[in-house]
Amino acid sequence: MVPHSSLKPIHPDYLHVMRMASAIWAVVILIAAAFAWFLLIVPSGFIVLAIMILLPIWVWLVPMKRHARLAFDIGADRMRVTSGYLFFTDTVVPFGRIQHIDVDQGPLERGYDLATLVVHTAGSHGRTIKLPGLMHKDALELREHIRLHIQKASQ
Amino acid sequence: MSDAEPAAERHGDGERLHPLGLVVSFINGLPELFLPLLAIYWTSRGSGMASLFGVVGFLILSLIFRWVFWLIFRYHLGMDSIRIERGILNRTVRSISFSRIQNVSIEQNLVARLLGLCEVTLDTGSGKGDEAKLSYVTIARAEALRETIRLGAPNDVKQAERAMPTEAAPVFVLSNARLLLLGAYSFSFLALITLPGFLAQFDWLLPFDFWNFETWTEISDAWSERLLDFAGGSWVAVVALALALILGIGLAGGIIFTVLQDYGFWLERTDRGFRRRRGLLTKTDAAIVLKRVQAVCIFTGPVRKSSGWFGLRFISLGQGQKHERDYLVLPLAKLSEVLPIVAETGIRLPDAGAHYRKPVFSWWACHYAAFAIAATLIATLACIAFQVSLSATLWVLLLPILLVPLAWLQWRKYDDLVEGATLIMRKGWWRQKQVIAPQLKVQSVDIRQNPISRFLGLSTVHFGIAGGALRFSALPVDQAYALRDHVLTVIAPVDFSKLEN
Repeated sequence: MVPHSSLKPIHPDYLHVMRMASAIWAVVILIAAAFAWFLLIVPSGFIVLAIMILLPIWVWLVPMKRHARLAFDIGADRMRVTSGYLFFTDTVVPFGRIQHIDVDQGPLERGYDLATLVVHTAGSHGRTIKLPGLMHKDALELREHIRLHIQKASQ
Repeated sequence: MSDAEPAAERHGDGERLHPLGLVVSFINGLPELFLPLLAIYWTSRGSGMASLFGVVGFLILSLIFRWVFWLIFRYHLGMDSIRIERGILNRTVRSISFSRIQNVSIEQNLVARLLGLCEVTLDTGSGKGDEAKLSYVTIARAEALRETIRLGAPNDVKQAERAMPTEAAPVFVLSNARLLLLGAYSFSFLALITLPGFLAQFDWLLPFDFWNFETWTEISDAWSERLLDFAGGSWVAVVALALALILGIGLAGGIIFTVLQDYGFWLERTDRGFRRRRGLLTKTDAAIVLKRVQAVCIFTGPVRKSSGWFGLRFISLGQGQKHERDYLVLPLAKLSEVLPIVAETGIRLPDAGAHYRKPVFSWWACHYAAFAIAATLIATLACIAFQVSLSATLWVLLLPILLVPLAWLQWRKYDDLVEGATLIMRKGWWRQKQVIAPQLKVQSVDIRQNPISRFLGLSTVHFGIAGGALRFSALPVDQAYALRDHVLTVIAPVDFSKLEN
C-alpha cells in the first residue's frame, strides 16, 4: 500500500517511552473513573471493565502499532516522516521549505537518551512536523545536516 | 521573528503612546471590570456609601494601573527596526526588523475614532499571538509608521507624517445596496445559536432560573397555549409563526453582523498590493502585499450564485485583522470584478473547458454514514439516559436519513485539478469555494488515511501552504503518491528565500 522502499524505523526504545506516556494517561483516566465511582455515578463494574480494556489495548497494543508506523527517510533535498495507526499520515517536507528546526527532549525521552526532531514550515498556520525516537546525537546531527542544506540553498 | 538588540540600545529614549489612548483603553476595558464591580457592589450591600466608594475606588485603581503601563511603554523607531519596551516587573525589550514585519494593520474602535486615535498591530507572521501592538496613536502617526516600515528605510517618521501620499482611486467599493444584499445572503445560523447563549449571559435579569429544565417546559407550555390562542387554535399557524421567527432572527443577525463588519468596504491598489478599509463602529485598515499571497479562494453560496455574486479571499503570509484567517478582498462582486483582482496576483485561473477529476461517491457516503452512526448512537444513549419516550427515540433514529442528501450534495460539488503549475480544488454546497494555489507555494505534502479511507483504498493529499492548506480528497493511494512526487519535483529545488515572500 505505502511505498516503504527507503523508510527507516525509529529507535526501538521509543516504544517504552510511548507505553509509559500512555500508562500515565491511563492512570489519570482511572483516577477520574474512580472518582466518578466514588460519587456513585458509575457502577464499579465499569471501572473493572475500563481497567481490563485500557491496560492491554491502550497501554500495550496501541503504542506498539503506532511505533511500527513511525518511520522516516532523509533524502538529498527532503525529509519524509510517517506516523499514526488509526489516522495515518505520510509527510514530506523539502529542506528548502523548513523555517526552523528544534530538537526536543522530554523527561521520559531523556531516560533513554532519545530526542524528537521538530521542523516548522512557514506561515502563521504553518505545519509542525515531529520525528520522535531518534538518538539524541543523531537528532543533533540531522539538525546540522538540514541546517547546512538550508544555508547553502538560501545563498 | 524578534531578535535581541545589540548592547547599543539606550533605555528610556523613544516615544510614549498618545495620552488620550488611556481614555480609550479605559472605556473599552470597562466590560472586563463589570464582574469585579458587581462583586464589590454585592459585598458592600450594607451601605450605599461603602459600595459607591468601593466602585469609584476600584475604577480609579484600574485607571492608575493603565497610567503606569502607559508611563513605562515606549516605542523607538531605529534605522531599520522598531524597538518596544514594556512591563513593570518583567521588563521586556523587543526589537523587530522592518524586513520581518509582514503587515501593519490599523484598527479603530468607536471610542478611538471619536478621539482620532487608532491601534497599530505589527504582524511578523510568527503566529505566536504575541505580536507587537501600539494602542493608541494618532491616525497620522499610524499611517506614517506604516509608510516608514513599508519603505524599510531610515526615514524620519515625523517627516513622513507631514508628507502622506494622496488618496488613490479605489478598485472596489461596496455600495450600501450591496451591503444589505450581502447581509441578507449571510443568513446567520450563528445568531440563532448564539441568541440563547447571549440570553444566558443575562440570566440574572430573568425572572426565572435559566438553567432549570422544568421552568423551560413550563414556559414553553404556557407559550404554546398562548400561541395556539393567537393562531386561532391551528398548529399549522403556530409552526408558520415559529418558522417566521427563526427566519427573522437569522436574517436580522446576518444583516447586523455584515453591516458592522463590512460597512464602507473600500479596496485600493497600492504599489505593493492592495489596501482595504472597512467597518461601521470599529474601522480597520489592512495592507495586503501581493508577493505574500499564497493562494486565492473564490467563494459563493447556492442562492447568491444564481444572481452571479461571488467573493474573493487571499490566503497569505500574515493575517488581515484579529480573528480573520485570510484576507477578504471582495465580499460581494460580479465575476467580471473578481477576475481582474485575481489577475493582479499572477495566479492563473484554469481554462473553462478544463477536465476536473471527479472522485467516487463512496468516499462521501462512507464518511457521512460513519458520522450518522456515531450521532445516532450518542442521541439514542442520551434519549435512554433522560428517559425520553420510545416514539421520540424512534424519531431520533430517522436523523441519519437527513444526512444522505447532504453527502450526495457534497460529492456533487467536489472536484479537483492539477493544471500546469497550479492546484485547483472546488468544493462545498452551502459554502461553495474554489481554491487556486501555485504549486511553488506548497510548503509540505501529507498523504493521510483514516480507517474509512483505508477501507476504501483511498487517501487525502494535504498540501500545506503558508497561511492555510489545500486538500485533495478521495484519491486512490497510488495516484496520491504519484501526485506528491510530481509536486515535490517542482517545489524541492526552490528554496523558500527565492520565493519572493
